[in-house]
Amino acid sequence: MSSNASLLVEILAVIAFSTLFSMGGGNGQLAIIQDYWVDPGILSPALFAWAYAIGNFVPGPRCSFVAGIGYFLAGFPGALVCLVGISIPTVLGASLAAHWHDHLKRYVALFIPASGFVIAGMMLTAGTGLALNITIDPVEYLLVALIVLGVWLKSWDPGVVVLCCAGIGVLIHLSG
Amino acid sequence: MWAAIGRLQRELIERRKLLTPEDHKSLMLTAAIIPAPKFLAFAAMVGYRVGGIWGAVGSSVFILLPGALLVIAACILTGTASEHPALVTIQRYVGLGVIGLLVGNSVRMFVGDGIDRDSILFGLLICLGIPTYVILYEGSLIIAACASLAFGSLTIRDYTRPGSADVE
Repeated sequence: MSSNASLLVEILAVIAFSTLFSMGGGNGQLAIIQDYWVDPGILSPALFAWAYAIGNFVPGPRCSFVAGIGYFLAGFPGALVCLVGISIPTVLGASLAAHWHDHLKRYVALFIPASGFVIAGMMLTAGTGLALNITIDPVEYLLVALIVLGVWLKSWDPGVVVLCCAGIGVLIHLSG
Repeated sequence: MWAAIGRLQRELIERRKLLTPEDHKSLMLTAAIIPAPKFLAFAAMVGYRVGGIWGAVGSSVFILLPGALLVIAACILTGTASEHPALVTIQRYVGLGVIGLLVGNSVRMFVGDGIDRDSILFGLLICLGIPTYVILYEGSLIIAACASLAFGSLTIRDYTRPGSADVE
């Protein structure tokens, strides 16, 4: 198997597996993606954050950002494989749930109370890991802290946060 | 997402009469507990109800495709200008924003609509244990997440955290 084909298989497996950690609407898959490709240096933190940011602006599910991750990793085939990877567990899970809704409910319910904490831990890992991969100035920590408070206490919209940060970037570039 | 849900509701219940309002509500709730992105799972469940497994495949593909194509187009456009200093600065600040979003959403997810007193200790252990194990001890995230899910399912029971489902 060529290295390109094995990369595509790896992308398919990682994305399909990471989709399982989207339980309850949380985005645990970000942490898996970061763990597999950003931390080892295969995907730059800037491109990872960029793909996620773009995903917040497009219509439809925000998880479509995985197409950007796949594109940055392996071009168009990578993007396509990511879409297949996210669709397989979703279609299987949704079909099973629609078919055996009452039977599955009690088993899934066992994991639901803990899933929020697990996904919170995974998102914290992704955020911390991304911060460790970028050199952040003390003033920039204040910006991050402000966003954390805004998202937590005021439920700031991700699209607005990304847009404002891009605006700050433009201002910083023009002034510097 | 909620704007699209409203439109789907009008289309599926009022116009095409493919679902009853009760079905719609039940599918929405079930979509939140399936290990998959909520909106995508909802679309796949509606597709399954209407056209079986191929309905689920079709609906999930077609709800994912427009956004994914736009993401790819944006990545291509920005990729061609990736060396431009302006884009590098913008990407840096967007990166900082994403860090804030991840940590902020993590706190929101942890708190939910209020933390049950019995769950807070185990929840805190899970929430801080995963990054500690992965970052400080360079452990596997998958192992940490699976072990935490197993540990949490044994120790945290009968506690619904409805606020957490809104984080996507």
